[in-house]
Amino acid sequence: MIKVKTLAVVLTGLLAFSALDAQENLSAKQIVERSFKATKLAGSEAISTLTIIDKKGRERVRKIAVVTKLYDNETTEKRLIRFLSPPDVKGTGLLSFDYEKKDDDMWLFMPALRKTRRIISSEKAKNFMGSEFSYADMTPPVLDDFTYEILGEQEVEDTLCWEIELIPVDDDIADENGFSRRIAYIAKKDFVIRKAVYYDLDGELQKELEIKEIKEVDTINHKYRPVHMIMVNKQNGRKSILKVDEIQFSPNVKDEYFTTRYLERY
Amino acid sequence: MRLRWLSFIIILLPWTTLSAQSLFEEATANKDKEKLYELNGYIRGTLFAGNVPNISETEIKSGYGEASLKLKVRKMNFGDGFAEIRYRTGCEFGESISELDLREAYVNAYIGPFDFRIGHQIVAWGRADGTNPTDNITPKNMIARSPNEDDRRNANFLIRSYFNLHPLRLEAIWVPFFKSSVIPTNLLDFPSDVTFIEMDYPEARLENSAFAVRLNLELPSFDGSLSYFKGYNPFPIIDFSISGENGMNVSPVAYRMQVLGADFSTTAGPLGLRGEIAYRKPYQNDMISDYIPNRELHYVIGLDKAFSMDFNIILQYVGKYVFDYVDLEMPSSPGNWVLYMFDLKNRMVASQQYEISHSLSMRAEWRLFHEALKFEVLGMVNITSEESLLRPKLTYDIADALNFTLGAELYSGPDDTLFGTIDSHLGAVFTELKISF
Repeated sequence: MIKVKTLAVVLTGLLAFSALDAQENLSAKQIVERSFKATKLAGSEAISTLTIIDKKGRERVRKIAVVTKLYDNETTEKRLIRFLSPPDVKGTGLLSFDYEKKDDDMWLFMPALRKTRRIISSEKAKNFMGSEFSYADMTPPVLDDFTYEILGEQEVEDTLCWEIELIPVDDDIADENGFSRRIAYIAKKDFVIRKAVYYDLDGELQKELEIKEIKEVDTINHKYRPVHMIMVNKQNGRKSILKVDEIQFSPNVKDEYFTTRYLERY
Repeated sequence: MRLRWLSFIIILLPWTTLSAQSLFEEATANKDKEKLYELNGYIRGTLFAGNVPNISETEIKSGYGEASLKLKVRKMNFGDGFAEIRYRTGCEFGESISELDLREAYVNAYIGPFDFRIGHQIVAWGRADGTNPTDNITPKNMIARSPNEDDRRNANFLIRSYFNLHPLRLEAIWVPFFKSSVIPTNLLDFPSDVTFIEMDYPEARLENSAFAVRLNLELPSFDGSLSYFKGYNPFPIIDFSISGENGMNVSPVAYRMQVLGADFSTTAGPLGLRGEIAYRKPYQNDMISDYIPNRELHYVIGLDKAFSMDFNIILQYVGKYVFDYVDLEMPSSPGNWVLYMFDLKNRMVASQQYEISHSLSMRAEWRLFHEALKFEVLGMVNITSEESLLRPKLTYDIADALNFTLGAELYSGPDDTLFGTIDSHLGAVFTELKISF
């Protein structure tokens, strides 16, 4: 009996060691890919508050509800964002189908227009709701759009991270995403990003993202979501805080949400 | 037969009993489950100023304060109701106004794949921008003065239903009562001795109601629809009648028509593509007036492009072909002058002055200072008639839900065109301060 126990301990140790070894041998691109997968939830529902603070300290607050679901063998994420406040944008909805290998499909419904309008998604560099976050920050990028390099290791808030450099493969991709270089700090223990530094198209330091809190939303498959993010613009002194007030793992979320029919039901 | 209905109801039951709300539904409906209604709205002060017609002086065209209350009531996933009441007081077209308007009031019911909306409501059809040949359900107020383009739409009572079978969506609309658009009849340079009288509405009978159907196809990479409308055109023509010895009464008159339409929107790389087309066939045999518009084909094709720096642009070509077009000739006898004049005005109002006409439109939107400042320009040029419209608008968010707007609505064109006739009456600069809650 003791022998069996000893064997189990040895085997577990070997497995852990080989897993660690395998982790050490990952390429920069594989780490980034694992990082995307670590936050890919089969389905989720969340309510978030976005606070935009200008350099004089004046605040603007936006509240949104978001529902997501993975389709097509986890290669497509469908997402519906509904704006809850301020009152002049309440009811506005954004439906997007994020694909791994092609441009997203997006539809916008504005109550004042009374109809759903298909919009172009290629400009991911645009500010998300006037904040320092861009649409590119809110959605996983196309992996092949960047080159990757491990620059080293660094502790971020007591968590050991890989320091990985992402560079767009060409100027068009750089324009589309709004940065010429991005350094991502990805935790070794869970592959979740802890920090990111952005350089603008002229190579100057532009923004710094800090992940203050992470939640394991899918405890069975170990999937996480950052629930408190701060993006500081180093060039204009503005700061945006995205706080997830409530989040729920909902793998069986209704398919009906991801239709223009539901988008128009505000 | 009864059994068939029973099985139909049984099929619907599983959907109707789905009452549990998800986190997303709770958030978008109302977090407070006890509170089943929401009250929103706005208060605004709006001022329009422009030239006095035919005199080079400036006048206040409109100045009003307006309060809006929007009530939304929800019943779980089964349905909801919406009503908006507006009260406006001030001065418009040189007269004091004090108006209470029920802008919309309707109830939605969601029963399985069926959605129903009954009540006083606005319908906006068409995937093109601004010019929508397939949009024939909701009347428009062509002389409404508001910085918000949607305020030109006037709700009417109708029943709207959907059958959702994704990616197909079949929409059917029944408009039991006719409601007319407001057209600038009194601005059309009629002789001074004519009397403008109220429109004689078609009676509320089944044969006078309008029907419309639309089949939507909604695919990830392509949206499109086919539509059909049959009924009275909400956009009337102008008719006259002789009263007394030399008097003449002028009034709008509704005519029946059929419209077959289609539209689409899609993307091609970094470009958005949209188009809309409608074949309009008025009933020529109704004899409700000496003038009935000809059959026409109205088409729009456009491109969207989004640039970095939050700049978007929509460019469109708008064309129209009038079937059986005949040039209007100057009458040889004075007795035919009246008919000639009304033909001229009606062709102008119905945009049928030419057999083929070509227009271009552009809408550019630039969001600056992290979306706090929005600059929008709508420009339209009719190359054939030489009419043009320019509508620049600057909106600044002073704080969340508190906006300041400054803009202009400028028409121009030769004297014998619609824009050339209304330019000094409706052309204006405007400003608005609005707070939403």
